[in-house]
Amino acid sequence: MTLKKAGFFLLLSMLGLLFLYPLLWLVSASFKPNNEIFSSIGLIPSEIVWGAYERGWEGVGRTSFGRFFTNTFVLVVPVVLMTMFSSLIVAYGFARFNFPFKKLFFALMISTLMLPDAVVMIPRYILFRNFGWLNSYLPFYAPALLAVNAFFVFLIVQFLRGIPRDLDEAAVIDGCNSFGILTRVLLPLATPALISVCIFQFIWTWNEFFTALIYINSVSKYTVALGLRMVLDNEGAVNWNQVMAMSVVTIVPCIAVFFMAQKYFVEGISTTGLKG
Amino acid sequence: MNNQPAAGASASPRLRLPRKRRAKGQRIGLLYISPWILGFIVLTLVPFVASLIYSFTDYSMVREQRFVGLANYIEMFTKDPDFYQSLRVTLLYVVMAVPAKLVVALLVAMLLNRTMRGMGIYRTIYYLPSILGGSVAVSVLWRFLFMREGMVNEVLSYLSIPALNWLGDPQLALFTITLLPVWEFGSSMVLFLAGLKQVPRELYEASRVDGAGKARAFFSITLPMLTPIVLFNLIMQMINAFQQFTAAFVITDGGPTKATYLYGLMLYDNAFQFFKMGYASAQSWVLFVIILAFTLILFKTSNRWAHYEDGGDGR
Amino acid sequence: MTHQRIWAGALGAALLAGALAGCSGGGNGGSGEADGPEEVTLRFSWWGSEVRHKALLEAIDLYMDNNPHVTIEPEYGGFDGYYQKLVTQFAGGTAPDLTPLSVDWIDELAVKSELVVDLYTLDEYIELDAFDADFLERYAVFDGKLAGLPMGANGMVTLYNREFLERFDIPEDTKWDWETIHEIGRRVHEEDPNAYLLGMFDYRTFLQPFVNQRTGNDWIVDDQTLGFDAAVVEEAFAYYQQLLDDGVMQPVEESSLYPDLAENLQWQEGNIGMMFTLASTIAKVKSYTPDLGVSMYPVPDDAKTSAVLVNPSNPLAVNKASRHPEEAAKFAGWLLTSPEAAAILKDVYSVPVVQANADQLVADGAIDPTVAEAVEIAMSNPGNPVKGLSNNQELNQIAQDLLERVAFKQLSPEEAAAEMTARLNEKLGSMQ
Repeated sequence: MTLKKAGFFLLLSMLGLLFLYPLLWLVSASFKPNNEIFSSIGLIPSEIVWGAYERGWEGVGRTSFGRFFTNTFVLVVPVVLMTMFSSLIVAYGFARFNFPFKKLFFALMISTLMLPDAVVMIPRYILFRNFGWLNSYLPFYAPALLAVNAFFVFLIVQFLRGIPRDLDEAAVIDGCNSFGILTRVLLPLATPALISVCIFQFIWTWNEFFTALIYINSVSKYTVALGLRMVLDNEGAVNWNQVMAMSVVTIVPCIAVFFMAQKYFVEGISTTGLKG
Repeated sequence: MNNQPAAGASASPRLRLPRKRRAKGQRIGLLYISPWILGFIVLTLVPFVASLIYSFTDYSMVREQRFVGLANYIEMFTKDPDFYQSLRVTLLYVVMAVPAKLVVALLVAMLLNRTMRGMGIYRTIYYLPSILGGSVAVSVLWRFLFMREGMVNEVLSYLSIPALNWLGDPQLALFTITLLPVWEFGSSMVLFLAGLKQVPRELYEASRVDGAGKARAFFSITLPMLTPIVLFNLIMQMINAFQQFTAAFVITDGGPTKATYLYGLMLYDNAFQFFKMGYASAQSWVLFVIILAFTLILFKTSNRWAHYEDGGDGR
Repeated sequence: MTHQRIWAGALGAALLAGALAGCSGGGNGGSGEADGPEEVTLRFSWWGSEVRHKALLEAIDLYMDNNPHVTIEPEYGGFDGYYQKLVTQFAGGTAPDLTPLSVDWIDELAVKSELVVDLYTLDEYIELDAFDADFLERYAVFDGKLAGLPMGANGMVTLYNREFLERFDIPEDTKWDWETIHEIGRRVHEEDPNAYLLGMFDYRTFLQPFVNQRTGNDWIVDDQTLGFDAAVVEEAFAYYQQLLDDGVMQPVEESSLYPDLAENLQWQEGNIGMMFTLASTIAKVKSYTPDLGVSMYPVPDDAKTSAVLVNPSNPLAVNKASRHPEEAAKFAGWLLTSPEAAAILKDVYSVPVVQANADQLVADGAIDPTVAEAVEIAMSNPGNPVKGLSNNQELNQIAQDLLERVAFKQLSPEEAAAEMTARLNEKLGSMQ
């Protein structure tokens, strides 16, 4: 039994190396001299170059990377909370009620994912310009608040539909209204789904480059994704070890969020209510 | 969604509903979805309609546009060899990448779905590639792994398999590109983990009492209980795969000789390299129809295999 | 009925949003009616690396100190996505007052779409005499309009690894033409099967100049017809295959992984001898391979034109929608002609076009000598400027794809040449 267990962990670890390697490489690259970074995949620098983290953190011009971090949190945290809240509400509507045009609405919602962003970008930009939202985070907040991303709604719908209806009915007998069913019965059971939404939306928004690039003009409002790429020229020489150092720093919150969130997939939630 | 009752026929399903209580107050559902309706009307509808209109013009983003009727669509289907090349490559890509990714994600999720110390670290490690996405680190790693003197060939040589040119050979490059999103299976894995969490333990206990083996339990309990998540992953991954851009862009940039020229790359070129936004819009709407068709087929067939605890069929 | 109320609410909100739309358009520029010169805000955006950002920010500060009524808002970032953002901004009417344009975009943005000011109309604010009038006329003027002030001069050269040339006894002053490349390259590969004289060719560094040298024409003549016939292109393709067959060039299956030769491992390890590239990329190549030399791009003795590419480096343009074009022009003129700005910018945009400033920087050692030499070499024998449809991205892409398919032996030179003339002609026809 223990031998089997040891073999299991050995297998996991060996495979895991393939997944861990890019991160290790990033970390080692942040200590390499510039000309060495792309010349080998090895992890040991020929000479260790210190200071990439300090110099990278200083940033360019008047804005430090610390500012980009603050900005990113100001952007990401409300977006995640709003997405969880709005998507849950909308998903509840789709999963548990029959109302006129439900099928049509649902089909419309899913179909909004099917048109490539490249061709919607410019009309959307002009729309948001008309709203006066340029150079602010509203192009992120508003869609999150209104559950515009069908991915999350559909996700929660699928999970809610995995929860037996008998539970709702029991709650109705106990005097719950429809909102009470959502908060008292379904919300606890849908925690794994909401945790997933939180993980995805955090990491995706954190790393979102293109939308941020289009809507944010002022360097003082840049997010980390913009900050990371702001010194990448197509022709000029790039201080790659600083870029790598900041990449490492930028990834840390994402890893931390994932690590903290993933434990909810194994602990905490009682399934005893699911006897049905 | 096809496993919902037809909304227009709301008068007759009322008769089929077992309890009157359910029929009442169903319209409050509209209130719940109202944020989305508002978002759709205010934020989504206008850009979508605009892009549809662009597809009938020669819109270049920076000049006055002219209405050109179906010219963009005609050019695409009759004069553009890249269109067919991209379509072919993209279909192949979807067919390879989506099932592979889901199978890997499910297998790893099964492996990691246990309460052992240190399991959280493994979960995090396996999720890392999904965090890194299309970063420089990934494209560098891919090149080093798959170049001619790369690690993959070195490993193969121990097994006496001759070296292959994974990224330089037009016959092989698409396959190699496909491995990237498969390797970034993290988000599908997370959803499977979350889904596994919802499977009531009592079911397994019951099956153990019945003396069923692990494999049996997987196919008779786990998989059926996961089907809503499988359907979700399948549809979302398919939609994403049709629009895939990053994998080819960061590693091969569509080459060699357009062997990895995915639809997303072609759209990008037309829109932003060649200033043909009207044409790119037309191509996007064609892609839209293709994805829609595939999605409808999946939803239709899912009636047969997707299993819902809410009694299925949306009741 | 609940749902009717919902609909009413949603529509109301949509209408409200639409009504708001009319009065909150993104605008730039300040106002104010204080005494003295009007308070002005200019948005200036650019892309680049850290050195460039720092230099431009310093220059902006200096300008604002000297011109207190002007506020310049810098908007800067990397190259990734810069251009999509710029196009989006132009489409939305929110483009910055000042921005550099890559020569690849000038034709569409500046010429056909008339989005930027003809700076000849603002010559009272810019000391245009400081520039070499010929250079401006040749490279920065399109349809008679000055599209932007060149930030620097850029040109195509042969860039070589000194150690490599020494290793194979190739004199640095070799006068390269297509024949010597073939001969010497073959010898190199025979001496060391791991070594290649060249990395790879693309459309811009090989096909277009090679063909133009034979024909003496532009690639596309008068923006209407091809400047060549299938036979010349076939010759070019056949020559390319020959180089690949004889080991003068690294096999394409390996080189195609690295669109940028500087990142090619074999180049970094010193197994590839030289490349044809623009002077502006030298700083980047140098960061991998420090010991570099430059010489003239291959020009055969019987060439009808040198076809050596010379470009203005990112001409600085003024947005036609700018509310303060004069102030923008004043700043642009100061940035590119004044000695104090030149001393700050140094070579962040290659070598300055204003000769006096360039000389001063070279004397001060503020410019990388390899870059300075490269620009000087290219400018000593420039080909015709590559403008208009000769620089059209879509046409270029067709030629580039066919060149690649020849390299991969998917097409014979003959087939590829026929397909190329046919496809280019078809595209030209549909563009008229």
